[in-house]
Amino acid sequence: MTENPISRDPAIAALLSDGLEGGKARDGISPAQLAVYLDGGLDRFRHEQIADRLAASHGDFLNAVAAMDYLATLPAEIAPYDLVEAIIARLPSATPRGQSFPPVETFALLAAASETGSKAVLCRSQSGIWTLEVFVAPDDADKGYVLLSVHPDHRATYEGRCARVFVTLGNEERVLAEEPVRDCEVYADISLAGLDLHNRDALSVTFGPVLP
Amino acid sequence: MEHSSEDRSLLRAALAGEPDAQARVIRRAADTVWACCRRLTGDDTSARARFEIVLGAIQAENFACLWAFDGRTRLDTFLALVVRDLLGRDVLRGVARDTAKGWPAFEALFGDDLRRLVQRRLPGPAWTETRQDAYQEICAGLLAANCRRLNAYQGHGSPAGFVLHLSDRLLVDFIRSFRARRRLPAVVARLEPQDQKLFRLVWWRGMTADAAGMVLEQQGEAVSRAELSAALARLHRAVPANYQPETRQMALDAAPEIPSAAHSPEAAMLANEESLALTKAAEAIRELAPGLAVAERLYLRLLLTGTDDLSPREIARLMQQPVEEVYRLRQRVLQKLKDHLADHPAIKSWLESV
Repeated sequence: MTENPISRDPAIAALLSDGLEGGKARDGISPAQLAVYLDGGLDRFRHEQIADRLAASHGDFLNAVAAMDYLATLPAEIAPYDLVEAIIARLPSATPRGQSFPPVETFALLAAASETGSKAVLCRSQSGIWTLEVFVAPDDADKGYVLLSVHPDHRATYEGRCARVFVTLGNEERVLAEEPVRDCEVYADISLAGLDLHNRDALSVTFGPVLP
Repeated sequence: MEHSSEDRSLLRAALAGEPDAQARVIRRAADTVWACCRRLTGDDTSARARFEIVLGAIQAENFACLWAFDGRTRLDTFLALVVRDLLGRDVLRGVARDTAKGWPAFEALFGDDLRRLVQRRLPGPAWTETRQDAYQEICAGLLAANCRRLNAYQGHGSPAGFVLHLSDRLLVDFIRSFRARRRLPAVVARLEPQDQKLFRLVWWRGMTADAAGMVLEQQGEAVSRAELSAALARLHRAVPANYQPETRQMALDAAPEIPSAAHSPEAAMLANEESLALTKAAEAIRELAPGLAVAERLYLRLLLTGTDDLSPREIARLMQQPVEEVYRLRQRVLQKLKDHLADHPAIKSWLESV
């Protein structure tokens, strides 16, 4: 096996790892994203995105290693029956209208929406206060970018909430992007491989709670 | 993941406010939540109290924290990590409220993570005592000034990621400070310079004799196998069998009152030069990183953090690559690293300075 020339000296290895820190601060990897990553549930494109974040952020990396250990060492336990039933008994019998999750916005993004005159814009659609645009990468037809923007009047409602952009394929949802709304926008790299946004696959967006 | 689709439907119904689904979600989640709480508290009474707090947080805003589950992972994995995150936030709030009461919970949740971090940075038997000092130093750093560092957590991102990153910075500071102060034993200081270099590589850096020989060769001081054996024999005769690198650490606010040779202007100058060389070396890595594939960058991160306590299977899971691919990746990354280290003037200067 090739000798690792640097790991023997802890101070040097530790300092050199600073060289890997990513330049721009990004939102950390959420527990949900980490769970999907560690369970191998991501497609290749999303897998690379998370792996890239792990490589670029020491905090995310250390968290992932620790989370893996946490999962491996979590003992099998059975919760006390009386405690569980007592909590269930305290549940409200009905949820007040308008308080349930998730509020859903669905964008029907097909070919008709793409009369933009720009080859780079695959499609653009407006749904109420939201505008969703998909761009194709100039050098790779399978790669694209999604830009979701909210009208500034509604900033307070959506800022910080997590947007999940996905297409429904049969019974499955293929998640293209999951990012919090920042400055009235979500902008993310997406994979267009295998999608037919012109004729078949409508993009949907749901909004979750505000991410801490 | 055979139940994921069913679990997803269940969670969505709960999120939509259906009481029956919410009750089923609580029953479904209870064992995992209990396991997390039991692990944190270590006893049933405290675990019951913590369990109620965590389930209260899960139910908040109509189970909003479960929104992110979409069936691509097992529900148990998802729940365990969500609960770990909730517990981390709660523990950090507890420390901020009352350090004395909150600290035991902090150590219960993060103590093992911190010990593994130390083990990774300071692997092997040569650092056994130092690891204990390092752990204490991290704890002292976190507790200093009424937990100022921990209280800086604003609630953004993973609490474990925040704590571990912070702790790693403290650990690196600790390692750097004892490294800078380390002095050759008097018997070794009287030997030839090349023997002293060999001593540093083998006794301080934990290298095998062959690896040390390779480093000497890289530094333009190649020695034959016979010379290497003879030098090692001299060192073994000179160095006491129970030798431990001098690593006792002192907190920064407990600096020595009596000046010592370790704090002389010459020592300070050498330390500064080394610090500069390391900064340049980190810059070299920064230049190298964009040219690496994502998996290679991630593996390099792993190498630089240490892999001592991770099994090949764990590394493969972290990388999300088959074990055999991880092995190939390792060869590739180390080769690129060597190529880059050998060509970069900053790295050369760093190699000469250590």
